[in-house]
Amino acid sequence: MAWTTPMTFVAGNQLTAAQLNQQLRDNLLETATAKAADAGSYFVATAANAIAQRTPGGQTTLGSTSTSSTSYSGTAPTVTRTCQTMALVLFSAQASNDNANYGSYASVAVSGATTVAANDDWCLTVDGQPASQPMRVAMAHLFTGLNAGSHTFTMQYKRGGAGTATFTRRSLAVLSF
Amino acid sequence: MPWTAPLTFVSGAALTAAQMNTHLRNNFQELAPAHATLAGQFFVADGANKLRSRMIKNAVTTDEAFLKNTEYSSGPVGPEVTMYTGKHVIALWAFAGGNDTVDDSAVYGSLIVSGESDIELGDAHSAIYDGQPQDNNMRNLQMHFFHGDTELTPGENTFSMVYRVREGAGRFFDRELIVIPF
Repeated sequence: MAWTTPMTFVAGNQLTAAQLNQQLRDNLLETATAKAADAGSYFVATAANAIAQRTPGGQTTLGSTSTSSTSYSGTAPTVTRTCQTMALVLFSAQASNDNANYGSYASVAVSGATTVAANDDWCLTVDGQPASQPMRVAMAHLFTGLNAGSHTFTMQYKRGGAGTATFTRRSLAVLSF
Repeated sequence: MPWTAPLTFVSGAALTAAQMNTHLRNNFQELAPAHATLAGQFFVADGANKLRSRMIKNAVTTDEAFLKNTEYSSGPVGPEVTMYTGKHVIALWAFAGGNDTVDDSAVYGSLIVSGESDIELGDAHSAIYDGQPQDNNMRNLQMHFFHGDTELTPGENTFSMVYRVREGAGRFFDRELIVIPF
């Protein structure tokens, strides 16, 4: 049931069961307490006078992946969450390139209710290092303008101008709104 | 209307319209659904028994800037996020960049806050890329917790990215600032 703007009570007016069901029962069912289902969750607005529970998501992939491609690809780690309009994505990786002073790039792609390709605009970059010398770096991006629905966020990787880029100890966290 | 501690009902006591308005109408107006106005908001306590909605906001500038200023104050400002902030803020910022003309020379990206607050984070809290050969670009994340008890004044605040170089010319691009208000 939807939220109804609380009525103003007037002295002498008899309250009906329908009014109490709408004003008390149905409105209480729209509160955070009624919608709380899972420990560790938080609450967001999905529209005017409407809230929903959201739960943070995260995944860590400790193993390594390597690429010699200059286009983003990859399948892990990955997190799937329901979003209304936005998602804050935090990610990190230990990255290196077996060619000195060439870059390693990790970004995040989105699939599901909205499709967004991994992009340099929000990538993490390790560059200018001696050959195969890793650095562990992190990044954040706020995806906005998402369609309401389920979204899968996936870390993806590419190399710079030459060499093979290697990524280990990869972490991804998503807060959906 | 402010929240009133819910009254305890007593058998035989007649409820008045004023009581119903205080304990039902007014208290319900302080719940999260009543404060939800836009999709994407989340809810925070803004004091005892006081709930408010907040929304994360970001600003992005993908354009390249080539800068030679060695002081933040003599360089450009942006991207910027202006919003009402309560007690605390977490700011996250990132830029891609490096020194274009000098090997092993640092470039820096920091934050300033204006409006109700007047804060310059400076080098102590900046992102720093150093030790790379010229023309190599890093992109890494920096963050800062603005503590309401010692640092941030609630109200309308503008968070702005600022930049400097140690020497030579620095390249700055793909800049994003994310502000999480509490």
